[in-house]
Order: sequence, then C-alpha cells, then structure tokens
Amino acid sequence: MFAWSDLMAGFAAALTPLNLLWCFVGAALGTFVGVLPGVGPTPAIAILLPITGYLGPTPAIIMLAGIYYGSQYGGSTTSILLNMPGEISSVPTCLDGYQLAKQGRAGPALAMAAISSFVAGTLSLVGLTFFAPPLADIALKFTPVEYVGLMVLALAVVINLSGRFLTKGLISAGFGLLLTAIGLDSITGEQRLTFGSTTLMNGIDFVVAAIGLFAIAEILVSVEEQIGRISVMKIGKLMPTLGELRDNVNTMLRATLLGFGLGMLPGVSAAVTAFIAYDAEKRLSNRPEEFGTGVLKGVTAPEGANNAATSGGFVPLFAFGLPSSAAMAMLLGALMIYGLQPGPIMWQQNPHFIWTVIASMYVGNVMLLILNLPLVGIWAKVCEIPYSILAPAVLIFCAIGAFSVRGNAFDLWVALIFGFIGYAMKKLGYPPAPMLLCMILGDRLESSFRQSLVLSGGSYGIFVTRPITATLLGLAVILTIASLIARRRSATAAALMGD
Amino acid sequence: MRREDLIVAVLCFIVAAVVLQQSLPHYFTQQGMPGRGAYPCYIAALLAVCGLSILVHWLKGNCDHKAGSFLPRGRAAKLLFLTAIALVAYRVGMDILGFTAASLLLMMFLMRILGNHGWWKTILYSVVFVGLVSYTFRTWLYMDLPRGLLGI
Repeated sequence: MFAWSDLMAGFAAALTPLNLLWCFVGAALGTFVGVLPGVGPTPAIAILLPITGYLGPTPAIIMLAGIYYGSQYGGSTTSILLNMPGEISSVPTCLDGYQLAKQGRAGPALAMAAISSFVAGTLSLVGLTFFAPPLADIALKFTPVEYVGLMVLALAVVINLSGRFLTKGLISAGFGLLLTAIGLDSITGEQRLTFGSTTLMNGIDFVVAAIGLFAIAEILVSVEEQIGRISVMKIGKLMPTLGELRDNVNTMLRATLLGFGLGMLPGVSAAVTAFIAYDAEKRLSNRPEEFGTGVLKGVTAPEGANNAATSGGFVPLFAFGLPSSAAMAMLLGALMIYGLQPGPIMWQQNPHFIWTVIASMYVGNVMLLILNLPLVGIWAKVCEIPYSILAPAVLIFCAIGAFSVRGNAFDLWVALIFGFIGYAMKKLGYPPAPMLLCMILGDRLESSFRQSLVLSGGSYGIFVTRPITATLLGLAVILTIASLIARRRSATAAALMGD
Repeated sequence: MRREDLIVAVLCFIVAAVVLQQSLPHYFTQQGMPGRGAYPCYIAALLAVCGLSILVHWLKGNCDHKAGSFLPRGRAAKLLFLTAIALVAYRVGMDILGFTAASLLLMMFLMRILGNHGWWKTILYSVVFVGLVSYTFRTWLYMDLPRGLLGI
C-alpha cells in the first residue's frame, strides 16, 4: 500500500547528487532525441541500455525513464518550429503549433506546450503514486494462470492497435515469440531451435534486436527520405498572456485525465492519446472551426495528453510488469537486466527502488520545464544539426550498444540484420512494436503457460475455469473480433469512396 | 496487401514447417506434459495461419496489383543502397581494422555521400567524433571494443 514515508524516502534518494545528475542527463537526452526527427525514445533507450550497466539499477532506470518522458517534451519543439514532429505523439501539435509559429507566435506555443506537459506530467505522476500500489496488491494474488490471461490481453491490444492489417501485427508478434524460443529452454535447460549452433544457445538478445529494429531501421528510412538541412522559424516573445494561461487550464486538466486513463491501457500509446485529446478538445470547443488555424488549445491538449500517457504507462509496468508500448518494453527489459522482477513482487522486495524512480520522475518534470522554457532556443538549434552528421553518429552508437550487451561480435551482425528486417517491416506496414513486446514477454508467457498446465495436470480447461483468466482471455477475443469488424467496415467504406 | 506480402506468406509457411519439424518430437515430456517443443509448435501454427490468411486475401483479390516495389528509386535508392553496403562493410571492417578505424571510415563515407561535405570538414568532424567516442568508451568506461587485426 501507499505510504507517505516511502515516497519521502524516495525523494531523499532521488535528490542525492548522483541520482539528480542522471535524472538531468536522462531528461536532457530525452529532450534531445525528442527534438531530433528520426531518433525516438525506443532506439535511444536500446542504444544506451547496455552502456548504463556501469551505473547500477537505480541511476540507470532513473536516466532511462528520463529519456522516455523527456522525449515527449522535446517532440513539440520541431512540431511547432518546423512542422516536423520529433515524435509521432507530437503530430497533432503540428496542426496548430506550426500555424502559430507562422503567425509569429512560436514562443507562446512552445511555452504552452512545456507548461501543459509539466502540469499533465506532474498530475499523472500523482495518479501513478496512488494507483500503482493498490493495483500491485491485487496483482500479488495472481498465479501464473492469471498472468497468461493478462499477457495475452496485453499482446492482443498491442497487435490490434498497430497497423492496418491484423495479420501483419500477428506475424510480427509470431516472429517475436519465435525468437524467444531460440536457445535454451528456460524450464528444462535443453537446446531448442539452435540448429547445433553454440552461438544461438544464448538466444537472440532483445536489446540487440531493438537496436536494429528501431534505430538502424529508422536511419535507413530517413536516409531514403533524404532529410536535408532544416531552417527553423523564429521563436520571438516566449510567454503566453495570463488570460491565455487561464483559458487553457481546463484543457490541461482534461488532457491529463484522458492521457493518464488511456495511457494505463496496454497498447494505447502516447500518440493515440494525443490524437484523441486533440479531437476531444475540438469537439468541446465553441469554435471548432478555428482548430488547425493556430489555436493554443490545439497545442495544449495533445502535449498534455502525451505526457500524461507516459506516466500512465508506468502503472501497468510497475503493478503487473506489463509494458504498454515499445519504449516501456525496453524499460521492462532494463529492469530485468538488473535482476529486478517488475510487477507486484518488486513492490515487496525493492520498494525503495520504485519510490526513488517515481520521486525522480517528479524531479525530472521540473528539470524538463526548466530545460524546455528558457533553453528552448538551444533545442531549436539542435534541429539544425545536418542529418548527414547525425546518421553516422547514431549508427556508431548503435554498434557500441549492440556490442556491449554481451561483448559478442556476433551481436553486431544480429543488429544489422534486424536493421534491414526493420526497414522492410516499416516499408511493408508490419509494425515492429509487437515483435519487440513479444521478445520481452515471450519467455514469461511460456513459463507461465507451462506452469499453469503443470498446476492443472495438463488440462487446458484451467484457462477458462478461472474467472479472472477467462475474463481477460474473453476480453482479448472480443477486442480482436471488434477490431476485425472495424477494419472490415473501414475497408468497405474506402472501397465505396474509391467507386 | 501487396506483392511482397506473398513472399512474407511463403516465409511464414517455410518457418512454420521448419519449426514444426524441429519441435514436434519434443512436444510432450515423458510425463505427458507439454515439453520444450510445445511452445514453438503453437507459434508455428500461428505463423502458418497468418500465411494462409495472406494467401486467402491475395486469392480473393484484396491486393494492390499496381503497387510497385517497396524499395525506392532514383537518388533515394542510390543513397539507401550505399548506406546498406557501408553498414555491411563497417561490420566486416570492424573485424579487420578494429572499431576506431572502421567507425572513422563509416563516418567519413556517410558524411560525404549523405551531405556532400567538403573533405576537410568531413575529416575533422569524423576524427574528433570517433576519437572522443573511442576514448570515452575505452578509457573511461573500460569497454573492450573490437580491436581488429591491427589492434587499434
């Protein structure tokens, strides 16, 4: 259960000079990757994860979490100044942000984005502080049988929400699951799908795969798009008026509620919540026709929602050990690398660690406000780094990241191959997120599944006779059917439009 | 759906067949419980169903016959091809030349082809960046990056 003393102890640890330093590094790096188009938080975490091995779990997770939520702040800068979103979650910000910049009001738009991000980020952290502990208490009662249901539901949500074709999401997930089966069987220790190769006995590391799938593939796509030198709009006067701030308070609160609530659901990414928040704000507005022409609320809503969603995503991660997005999956992987079992057990065994990370996120939000308000001019300059310098630099970091996971030169080939696979997946519309999520959850899904069958004496009926599991699996089936119907309807509508 | 998806469907079938061939004999343990082969068998079945689904879509005509290759054309194709080749060469070069020299060559090559930077700027930026990175990771973080045949 939540106790103030735990949170205060967390703050005491988060405010030590070393943790503050790594929190700042994470927040700054997050803003940096958020600002840069073509480099997102997932590849950044994937590249830096092996390198953080020198830090120890608490500073490492503080830094990696900082990269994740910091990237949501940075994404708005390029959306407003360049009409080029640094992150997908900042796409709706472009609609009004860039129009404001063209009207010479880039400063107030940037300030409002930072303020909304701060308010929503901080309020949703309060939600995380109060929601996660009771949920973890519930999760403590879960057996492997319930975990099978929970993981299947999480994977179903991610697969259903990614991409136009359900089959493509399933194929991506299928290959992800298959990759976790390569190596030694986690229960019997026998070789599986190694084809006699000793190198494959250690399996395919998900961090190496993530570096390829997300970082190298993204570079290849960007090279193809030939991103050249970018010219940035002038920022001008920074702060909005008091009246404008007052007008946007309710928008910030609505975005927080929406972002946090949706962010807790697996598969509902910050990008989805940003679009929903923008649309909701437009529908609630007395002058919806003004949206898209340069309205501050069009910046406040998506920026608040995407930040609230990132904090919301930590609720299932900390309570159940379930990631809600690819970046969260990387954080889950990071926790596992440090020998921590994310989920309810972690609240019992390492409560100090969790509260330190949560406290550091409060501190990180304050740092991000400072980094993104007075220093916004510096981040605007970052956008001007030519891609021809950035791309090779990122590729070199990819090589270091992939090599340092296990000090194995074979992993450099693995990262490269996954880079080419990731490029083809992106071009052909196969979402890479289900593959990564399955690579991280696959082992746990299999062991929970087999443990469940041992409990039932080999009967598959255990998955439908246990109420929680049956409900979760039922939800996964309903969701998939609903998603199939929705896809069929939209395909029919598109065909009719074509006719 | 497009033509390349058919290749993916065939790939799904091949992978499913190989996995089933490897895993079916280990489906059950001696106690009759699902063994180490069970999980891969389920995944193989999933991939086979997905492959079949693509095939059905294709046969029903739900495909974009006009869609060209997913690979780009013109200058974009040239840049992509050169970058891909550079990456493979970088990986091979790391075994021979070591991390520092291979990274230096990669950075110089990509800066030239992606940005058309002048030689002096290319060399200066590459040497400074790779030197800093190499020094930081080797000296400060004690990382044993590949040294190649030359030992650098």
